[in-house]
Amino acid sequence: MAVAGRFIQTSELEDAIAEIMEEYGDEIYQLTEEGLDVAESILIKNLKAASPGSPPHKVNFAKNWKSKGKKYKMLRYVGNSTMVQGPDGEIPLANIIEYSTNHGSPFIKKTFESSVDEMAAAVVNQIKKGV
Amino acid sequence: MIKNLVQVTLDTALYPLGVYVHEQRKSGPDADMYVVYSLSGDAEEFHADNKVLVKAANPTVRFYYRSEKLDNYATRQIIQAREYLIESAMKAAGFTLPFGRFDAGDVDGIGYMVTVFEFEYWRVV
Repeated sequence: MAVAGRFIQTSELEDAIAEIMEEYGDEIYQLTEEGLDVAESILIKNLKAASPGSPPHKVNFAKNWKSKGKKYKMLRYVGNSTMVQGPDGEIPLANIIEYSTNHGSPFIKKTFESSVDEMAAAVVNQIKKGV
Repeated sequence: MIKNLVQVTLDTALYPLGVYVHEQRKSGPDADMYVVYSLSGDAEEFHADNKVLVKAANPTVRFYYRSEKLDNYATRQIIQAREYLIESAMKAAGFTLPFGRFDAGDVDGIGYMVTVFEFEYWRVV
């Protein structure tokens, strides 16, 4: 094949395409990571809005939704650090609200599920912006 | 249908061991261990021609055991065996456990620790 006045081997072309695709993949990966950061902040915002009790909550429950860091690639963790005293020591208030059969008022899973479309759109938008 | 499947699956596995399974709330005398399940969702996942093709039910199973069961090795082993039995029985019945089980603590404030299992059951309707 002749390109710009010189001949290149088919194998060179394959290598060149592979290199471009690899760079492209790296860029998509980076943009997806950035998109996940945006998705994470959307979930935190929605969880704060859906948290029971009028803000400011006496134990700052709504305020304590936070990112739990980037432990693994392409994953994000969101948690609530509010602890309350139980009969056997401290217990996360989120567990009581979500899973207690006598004090519960579940909203975390529902909020996550209702946020999925918004979070997915945020990731896609971030990728679109970058490519 | 899903509730029946959960009840029958867990009864089959746990009733012979004296662990009773309740829907939404426990009733009857106090026991060392018991299970309460609830259906936290049954979402429509896929559609075609305005008809629902696939639904995903989300039963939440809570395994309760007296907190003092954690005080010695032998009873901790029993707790772990029951947890494993719940998970394996439900999986054998077609449920998945995408995020695994976890210790939620004494969420009801009654001196019982709780292990939570959030199962999924995908089915063509």
